[in-house]
Amino acid sequence: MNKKILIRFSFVFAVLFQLLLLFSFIYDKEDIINNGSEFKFMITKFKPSNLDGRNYICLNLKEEFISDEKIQIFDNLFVSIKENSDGFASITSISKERPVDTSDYVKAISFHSRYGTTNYMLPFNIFYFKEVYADEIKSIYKKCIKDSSKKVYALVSIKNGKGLLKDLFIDDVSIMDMIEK
Amino acid sequence: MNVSELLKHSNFKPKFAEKIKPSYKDQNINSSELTNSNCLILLFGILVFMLVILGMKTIISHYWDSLSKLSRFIIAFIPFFIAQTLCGYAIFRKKDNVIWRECVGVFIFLAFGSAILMISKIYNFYNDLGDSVILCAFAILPFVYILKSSVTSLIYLLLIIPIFFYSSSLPVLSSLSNELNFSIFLLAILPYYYYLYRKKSDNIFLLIFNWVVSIYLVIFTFLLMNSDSRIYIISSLSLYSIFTYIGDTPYFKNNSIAYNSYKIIGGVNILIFACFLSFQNVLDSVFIEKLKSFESILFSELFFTILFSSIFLILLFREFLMKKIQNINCLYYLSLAIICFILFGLSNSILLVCINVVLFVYSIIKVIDGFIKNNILRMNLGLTIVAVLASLRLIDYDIEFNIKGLCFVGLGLIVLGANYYLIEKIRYNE
Repeated sequence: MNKKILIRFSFVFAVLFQLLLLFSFIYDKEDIINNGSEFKFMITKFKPSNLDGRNYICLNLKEEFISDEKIQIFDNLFVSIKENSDGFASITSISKERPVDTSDYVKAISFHSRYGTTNYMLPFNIFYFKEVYADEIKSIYKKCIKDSSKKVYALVSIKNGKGLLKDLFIDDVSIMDMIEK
Repeated sequence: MNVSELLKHSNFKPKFAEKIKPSYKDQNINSSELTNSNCLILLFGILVFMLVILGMKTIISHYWDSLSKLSRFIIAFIPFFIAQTLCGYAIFRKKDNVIWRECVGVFIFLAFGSAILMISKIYNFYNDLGDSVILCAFAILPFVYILKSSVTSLIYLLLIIPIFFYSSSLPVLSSLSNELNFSIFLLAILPYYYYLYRKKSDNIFLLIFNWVVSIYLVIFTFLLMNSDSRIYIISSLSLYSIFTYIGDTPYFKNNSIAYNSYKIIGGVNILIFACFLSFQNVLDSVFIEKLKSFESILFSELFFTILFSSIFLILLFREFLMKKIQNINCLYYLSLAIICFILFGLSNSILLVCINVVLFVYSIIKVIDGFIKNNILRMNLGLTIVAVLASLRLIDYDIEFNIKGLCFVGLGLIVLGANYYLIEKIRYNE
């Protein structure tokens, strides 16, 4: 009898524990959106295959760096980010250790490494939208990214290694606002 | 109507009824043990739950764009609550039914995983898949023990793999190193493994657990010890010797060899290690420099090496006290000898000779042992090692090709002759 009660109690606690985990997962995301520091990432590279997705655009935020540190493929990298004089984000340092003094860093994974050069992808690489607007958004994006006079950038909120893509801007106007007009 | 009710209503005597009851147990779907007949039902149950979850997701994803954020959250939580309700029903009402418990365990995992993935979808945030998987492992661990569900425990064993590779940003995990996290997670499932072992059933899950846990430990040492090859060799040889010891315990010895993953993995790996180290080239590339100063070796590496080797030494000491010297497994001597050679810091040329001699002596002991005890398998094991050693040395040194060929032919003839002689001897004795 005693054992039965113990199992029932532990069941209730396990359910509460699972709920706690789920809510902490949600809280984590909300925390990044509300309290993270915002950065603008300039988008310059373009490939036609970036528009292949049904409801997303690939932003091609591939970066490359050269270092003496031995980095293998699929290693975890911590990329520190700072705002430069133009108001856009620039990468200050990259290391395999988690930075202690700042919370403005994201975690990236190296996907190609050769002769001391490592390529990595920033984790907020894909912009999602509603499937209804797919054709319009893709045509606007394609036109603007090839036009060098227009600035295309992504607004990203960053906190403690995680980055969340908030919106895509073209000359300080949100791409969603342009569609809805 | 189940068997016990059937027997109560029949006009068998109670003693006789009690006697025939076990033979009907297999056909009882509601039994508390997992048997062959209800294993199939279990599989179907899991399949049904997976299909239900997938179907729900497909329907929802079709209307996803037109939903508001709140309704998306509600949808994400619905399968989770259904799973918990079913789990409550299984615990409170169907406690003795193994299929209910196993299926509900799988359903809880699927529901929790889908809830996490849908929350990620709401925020369009996919770059912490490793974190989600580790969260799932966290979430289903209590249910392994509450439901006593073996399938769930296997899922848990699969889910803890990314902990090793992925530097998690969960606050609990980020303070410790990956290796320690992994070993803590592995330790958390060991009580369930012990529970399976205590039941002493020839359970298929026990077999899977034996293999998975032993392979995990082998891979764990391989991935952990990467700063110095000497440390790696010492720790893994001690680990394999511990495996051999576990495989020689009466429980494993009396069971089928398929259950005895420890003996197979331990023995084979010690021999492969010894054969590899008997190469001049391997030794030269492995031990380029002297053992580095202890500062360059990580704390976790040193900790696990000392742990494994001290357990090995204690077990070896216990063997010496309990058994006669000729009854102790020769593999212990082999690995102990190699560990000692490495610790003494011999130069490569002396080390090469020592390892070759030790391996040769080991194989000769095996051959003689096989001859005395009329055991063909054991003799052939010894002969195989001699043959492998000889062929490795023939590859190593520059000898003319016709002499090499003659040596191989001679080896083959020796193996053939020895086997023929032993079979004749066994036949004569019979």
